[in-house]
Amino acid sequence: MENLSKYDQVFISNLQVTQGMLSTLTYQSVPAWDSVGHMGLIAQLEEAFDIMIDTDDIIDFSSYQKGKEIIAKYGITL
Amino acid sequence: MKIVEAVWEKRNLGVVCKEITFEAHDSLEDLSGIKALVEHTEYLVVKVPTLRYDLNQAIAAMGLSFIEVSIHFELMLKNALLSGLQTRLNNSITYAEMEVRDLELLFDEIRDGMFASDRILLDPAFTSEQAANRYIHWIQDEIQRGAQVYKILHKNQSVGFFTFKEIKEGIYYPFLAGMYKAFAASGLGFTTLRKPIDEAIRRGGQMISTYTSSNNLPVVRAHIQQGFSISGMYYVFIKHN
Repeated sequence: MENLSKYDQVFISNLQVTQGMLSTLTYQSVPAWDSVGHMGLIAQLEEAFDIMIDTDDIIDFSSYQKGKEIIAKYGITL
Repeated sequence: MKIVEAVWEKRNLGVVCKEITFEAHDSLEDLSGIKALVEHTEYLVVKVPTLRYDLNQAIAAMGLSFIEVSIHFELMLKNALLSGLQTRLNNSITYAEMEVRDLELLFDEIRDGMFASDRILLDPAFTSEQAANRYIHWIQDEIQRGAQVYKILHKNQSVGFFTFKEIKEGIYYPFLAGMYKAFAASGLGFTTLRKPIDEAIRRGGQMISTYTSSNNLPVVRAHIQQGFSISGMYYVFIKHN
């Protein structure tokens, strides 16, 4: 639960979205989630969970939900 | 004030087009000299430097519609910026000059609506086919004039492209760039700006000079994030007759 809260907060602080928007949030669905926003989001997730995300996973990280699957690959239980 | 008969647009768009560019020192009286052009040119494009509110208002009063701000960017290569994460990603992305089959893929992507913020595509007076043809002809013309077109590669798969042209010694102009549809949501968009920088550095250049539309906010943000500074801005107005 703590990890999920941390995961959510990275999105909320980076992309200026509300908790209620997260479940359907996808790349480019809000102006802040563009190429620049994506880099900020991934960098903060790496810092928050002390992981290094592979290039393929960064490219595949296309939504809040997809991101959960990707983060789980690094041993993080959300 | 400079008036250009944009003959290439007759082939690209099928209309007679003139482009008028005002400079900061032009006076309101200069407008009287373009009245006939405003009333009779099939497709008129007028560019006005920012801060000339008087010209903006007068041009709008002549029946022209505002469509975008053309934002001109410059980057001294020594000032180029990349975050640690971007550097890591950039090192895993390569580029290579296009061959004929690569150009066909690029042209298919353009026909599929690659440049969604383009003022021609956004203009209901034109079709998506006209907008695509304009870009394809532009690239073909520039190749004839000596420009290069590069594919951006991730694991040998084309994910996007950039163009490259030397406009003065050591100054390069990547006049078009973009990501392919399948990779538009990959976060790799920054490489369409960074790979031209890498190529300019490889050639021993000093500067990148380019411009983009205010209608394309992600690209504006990407330029600023990578260290570009704004060298000028023009309000762009259009009129169809």
